[in-house]
Amino acid sequence: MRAVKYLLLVLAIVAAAVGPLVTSNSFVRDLWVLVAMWGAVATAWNLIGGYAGGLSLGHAAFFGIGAYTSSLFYLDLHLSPWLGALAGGVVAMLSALVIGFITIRLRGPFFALATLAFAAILGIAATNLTALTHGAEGMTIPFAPGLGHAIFASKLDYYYVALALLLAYVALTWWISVSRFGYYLVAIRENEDAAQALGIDAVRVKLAATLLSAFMTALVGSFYAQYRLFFEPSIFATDISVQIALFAIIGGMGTVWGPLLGAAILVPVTGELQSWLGSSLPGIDAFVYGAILVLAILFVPNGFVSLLRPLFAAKHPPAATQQAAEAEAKT
Amino acid sequence: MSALLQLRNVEKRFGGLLAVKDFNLDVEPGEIVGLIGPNGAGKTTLFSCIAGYHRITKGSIVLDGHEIGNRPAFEVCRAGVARTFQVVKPFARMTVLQSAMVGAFLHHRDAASARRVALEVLGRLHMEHLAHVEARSLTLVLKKRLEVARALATQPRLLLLDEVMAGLSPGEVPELLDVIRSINAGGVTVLFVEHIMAAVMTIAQRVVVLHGGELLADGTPAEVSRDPRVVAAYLGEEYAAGA
Repeated sequence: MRAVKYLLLVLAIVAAAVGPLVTSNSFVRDLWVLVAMWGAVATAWNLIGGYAGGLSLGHAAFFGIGAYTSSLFYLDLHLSPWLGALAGGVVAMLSALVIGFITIRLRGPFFALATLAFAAILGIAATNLTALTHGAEGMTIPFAPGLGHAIFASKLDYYYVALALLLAYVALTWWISVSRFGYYLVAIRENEDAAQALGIDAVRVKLAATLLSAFMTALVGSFYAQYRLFFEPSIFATDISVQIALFAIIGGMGTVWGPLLGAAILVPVTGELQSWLGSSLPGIDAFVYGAILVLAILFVPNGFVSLLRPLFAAKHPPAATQQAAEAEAKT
Repeated sequence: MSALLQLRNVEKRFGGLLAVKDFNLDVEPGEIVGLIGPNGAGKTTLFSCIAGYHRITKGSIVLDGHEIGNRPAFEVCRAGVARTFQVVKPFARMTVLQSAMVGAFLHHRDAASARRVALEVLGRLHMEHLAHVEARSLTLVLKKRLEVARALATQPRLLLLDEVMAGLSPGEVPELLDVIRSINAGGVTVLFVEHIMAAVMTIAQRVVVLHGGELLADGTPAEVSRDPRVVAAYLGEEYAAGA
């Protein structure tokens, strides 16, 4: 069964590498870029939201911090966005450190609400600190293609940048999932008291996951700024935070591939719904989208990745039930 | 020989309730000490104080010369004290092996050696065949045993067992007693709370009786079971007559 797994992996990577070359349709290529981009953000979210079980509804904060930081450095100080993105990552980590220090001891809904508020505060700040952020006018990056500017004439170039980030994030997640850090995150999610009893400094481990997740999310935020070349304080909006969490939830929280799968399903659905229905009746696309989400959560509660699991089953003997295992032991 | 665990004048107060008062206890390295007493005597509270889940309001708790009183739970564990929970706290969606590995990671950074240690511990608890079963699908008895496995995987010097035998059938008790003996023979000091008197009397080298938050008696199982105060407070006349 291992062979099936690697075959699928190779197929997926080949499809990802050549997929956008098959079409020259700009709308479809945009979807490929968006899938890679949101897949990367959802994968970053998954570290804290899926593995550590801290339902963050404020990841737009880190995304927006990345976009604003690299753009401000680029526009005001002519710093290459490649470096600006790293700076954005660092700023996001610092803000995660502050907010994490305050909120990480909160459990369940309190943590979710605190993260929600954090992004909302940044949105208000971005609107009102007009000297720095141009307020509601938004940030416009002049179109000046060049590698150093991280601005490209072709969507394909953007796509491969996003794909590189995505693959790095998925690989990192896989590595974490089989290492001590990953086991600790899951143990904390499953039972924080028991985790502490086994020598795990839960606050520190969760904080580390939050910082890493914030850094990764901010990098993609910078990418978004360079791709769209325009954004406004609405980048901090709750619907973006919710969207990020939804990709991971629909795809499969706490799994390596789930968040990407969620983005790969939901991003095209949103795009297609908008282009098919958006003009017929205002809001109908959002309505249908919501209905699809409800059905997905009802019928695939463990995420779409759980539907693929039978393909890889029998990695361990199918002693899925204790009774079977015990019967086996007694014979 | 100096004691592995020293409790001195330990007091735990919950508001107006004095749950543990002026409690002193020495546990020597290599001992198996049973802690008994009626419901509400403060046994689990005392465990939680030692393990860092409750702050003590007075006194000191010293492990091998280092103060562990009022240190957070994870630091107490790193100092060498592992505990089980009376009300089990399984990692529901982890397998038995993964759960034990979480414990083993304390002293083994890489997954391969953590896995090796975890498998070895599961073997000692006769749970290898359940390695890939999810913790949530275990019976309560096996969840309790998994608590022991996880704790043991941290390779502690002192193991605190909180009613791991409750709910076992009479046939299952001797097996677990053997396991605890072999753990102890491997150099782990054991302090346990238990209500099954037959088990306590068989395995404990020393029995400490807690009553109303205070130390009532401390001695060999035979001494304690003959102590009229212990009989009156906990064991009952019938037990004394039978013994």
